[in-house]
Amino acid sequence: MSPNIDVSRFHASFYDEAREHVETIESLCLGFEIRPPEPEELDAMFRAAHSIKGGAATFGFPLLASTTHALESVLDDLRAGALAVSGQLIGALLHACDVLGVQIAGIHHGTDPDPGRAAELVRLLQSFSEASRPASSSESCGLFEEEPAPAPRLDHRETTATADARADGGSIRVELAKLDALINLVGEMVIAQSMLSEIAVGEINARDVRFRTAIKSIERHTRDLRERVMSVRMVPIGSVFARFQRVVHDVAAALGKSAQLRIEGGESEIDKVLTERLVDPLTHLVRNSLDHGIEDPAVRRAAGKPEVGTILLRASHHSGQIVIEIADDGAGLDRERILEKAAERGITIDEPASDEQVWDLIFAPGFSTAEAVSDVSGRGVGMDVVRRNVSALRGSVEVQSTTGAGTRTIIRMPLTLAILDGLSVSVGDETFIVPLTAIVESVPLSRAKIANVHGRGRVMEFRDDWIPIVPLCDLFGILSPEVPNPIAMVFEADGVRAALLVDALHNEQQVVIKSVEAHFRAVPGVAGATVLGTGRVALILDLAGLLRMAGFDAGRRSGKERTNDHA
Amino acid sequence: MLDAPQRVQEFLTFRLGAEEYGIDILKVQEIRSIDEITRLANLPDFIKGVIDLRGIIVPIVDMRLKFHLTDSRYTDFTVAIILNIGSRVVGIIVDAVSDVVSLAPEAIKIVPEFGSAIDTRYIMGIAKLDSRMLVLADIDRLMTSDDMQLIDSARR
Repeated sequence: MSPNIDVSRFHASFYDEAREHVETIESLCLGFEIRPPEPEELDAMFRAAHSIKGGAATFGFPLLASTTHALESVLDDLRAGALAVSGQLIGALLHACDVLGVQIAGIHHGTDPDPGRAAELVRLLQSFSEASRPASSSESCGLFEEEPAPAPRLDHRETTATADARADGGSIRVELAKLDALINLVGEMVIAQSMLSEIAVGEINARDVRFRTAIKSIERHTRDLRERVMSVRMVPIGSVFARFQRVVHDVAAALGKSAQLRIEGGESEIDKVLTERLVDPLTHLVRNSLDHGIEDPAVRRAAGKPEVGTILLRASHHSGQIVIEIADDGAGLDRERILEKAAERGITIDEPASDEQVWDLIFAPGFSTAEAVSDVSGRGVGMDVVRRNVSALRGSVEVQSTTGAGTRTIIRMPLTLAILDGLSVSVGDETFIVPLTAIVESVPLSRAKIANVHGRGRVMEFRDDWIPIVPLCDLFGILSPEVPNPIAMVFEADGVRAALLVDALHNEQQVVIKSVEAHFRAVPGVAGATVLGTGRVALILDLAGLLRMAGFDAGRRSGKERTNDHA
Repeated sequence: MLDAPQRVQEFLTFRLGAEEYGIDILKVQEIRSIDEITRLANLPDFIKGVIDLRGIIVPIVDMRLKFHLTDSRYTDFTVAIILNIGSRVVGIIVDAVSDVVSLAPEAIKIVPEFGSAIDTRYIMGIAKLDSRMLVLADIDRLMTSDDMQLIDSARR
């Protein structure tokens, strides 16, 4: 290879691919614990290992190549039937995934691999291969010859490429920035198209059938194009769920518990960007379920439950949102202990409280019911962080629990952060977009029951509760003449209900979300911006931020004031 | 090839009140008329708001308000100069854009204490061009400075 060619720019894509291949091997391997492997699964594992090896050799990572080679040999024996799946073998394969994972991460971070650890793994894997050797000496899979030396051969690459293309239906890897640029352009086209449509209405030519047909078809194609481009970002959520097989396996083992993971609705699609940001909250919830939910086998037996606990990860689409459930068949939440803990932490609640209100206490900052800080969960990050992470993705979290039967955490969030279903509202001359999912109800202010609270402004009666009224014109300093019929738009953000006072509601629309911070800085109360059909920029309101600006934050719950935190 | 010290630099010149300024042409992305600007709340008055520039949201600063010029009316000549500052895109409103001039390094004089609207910290020098006097602004430094309030101080 010519020294002038910089291969390092290929490293990033090799890193991504290799990591995915390791995940593939790992998740297939974990499947073998439950049922015997299918021939296609063994083929897929072999191909994944082979791809890592090929790439490693090409980009000059000899240790990774030789380590993967040893793994590949074992997998080859497995699919040839020369080796049988055993608990020991699965353990060795998982260990191999770990070692490879570390080596691959090392490439990414530019750290040197540990040859000792690799050599040890190679010996372990070879012990399996050698045990199978007498039986496999005459067998050949037909694709490759037995290779005596661990050094990989480059001429395998072509075979790998075709095998890969077959396996995933021929997909390519695209940089997210390129997709974003495409989405931007389509967004601009949608604006240009709606301007064109508006002009066309007033044109004499509009009587011309051909002209009208052309305008209509531009409209339709633009809409289709936008939908298609948006869908390119969507990936099945199963890719995130799959990695929890390993989490459940490892964490359960560490806790001396026995648990299995069930996955449903893995095919539900979600924005690729969101999948990455879901990993942390989901990991926390799954660990919580194992640590606090699933009981020790003996306890479960005594309770008449199967010894192996089940954790369910389920995804479904519901009214334009994705609903993710993390459920376990463990002990459930303990009402008394939560109340006790809350009292210790100085968190108060109105009695009598419903179960839902009690469960909601676990989302309070600094709340943790774990007796001791354990290795698994309770590292000072609690459910409040989970809620904050999910809120940042414009989602919500709630908990349902039945003592003795289990706990279910439900996350609802948009499918993408790129577009938003919004309602346009106006105050004075200005137009804003309010996220539709946050809106509970809109009522004319004249029909609401209003009261004045000293130092707190006006409150309004809503469903047997008094909620604060937040006047948008005051917060944003908009000079607007009194309108005859202002609207109180009741919304919920960060678990707090309030009413936003606006002049008028306009139409519901899907808007492309654009960052204000990319070329500017964060603006309080503004979550982003979008471009309206007129070409004018409209701001998307950050309702939680508006509450903070108005002095009502998430620390307030059930009418009780909390004074200690403003984070 | 020219030696570095003799490199001729090109400047875009514009008017702000009674003064004429020049900025490095390489920082200028484009010049456009002022469309509707969306106001942002709770910000200083010289940050006029944001516009859509082919899909990106760009802040617009009115330099006349920033430098307290008495007359900040919009005329047919009032334009926005769209600048590339680092990885960011920012627009500035000026009274009028004049032309592009080439200046050799020796034509640029170091500023003495000098009474221009822009603080001397942000001035690279002044240049005399026939009867005109150009104030050459260090636009990078000016736009990223704290008193422009365009960037979160936490992110700098």
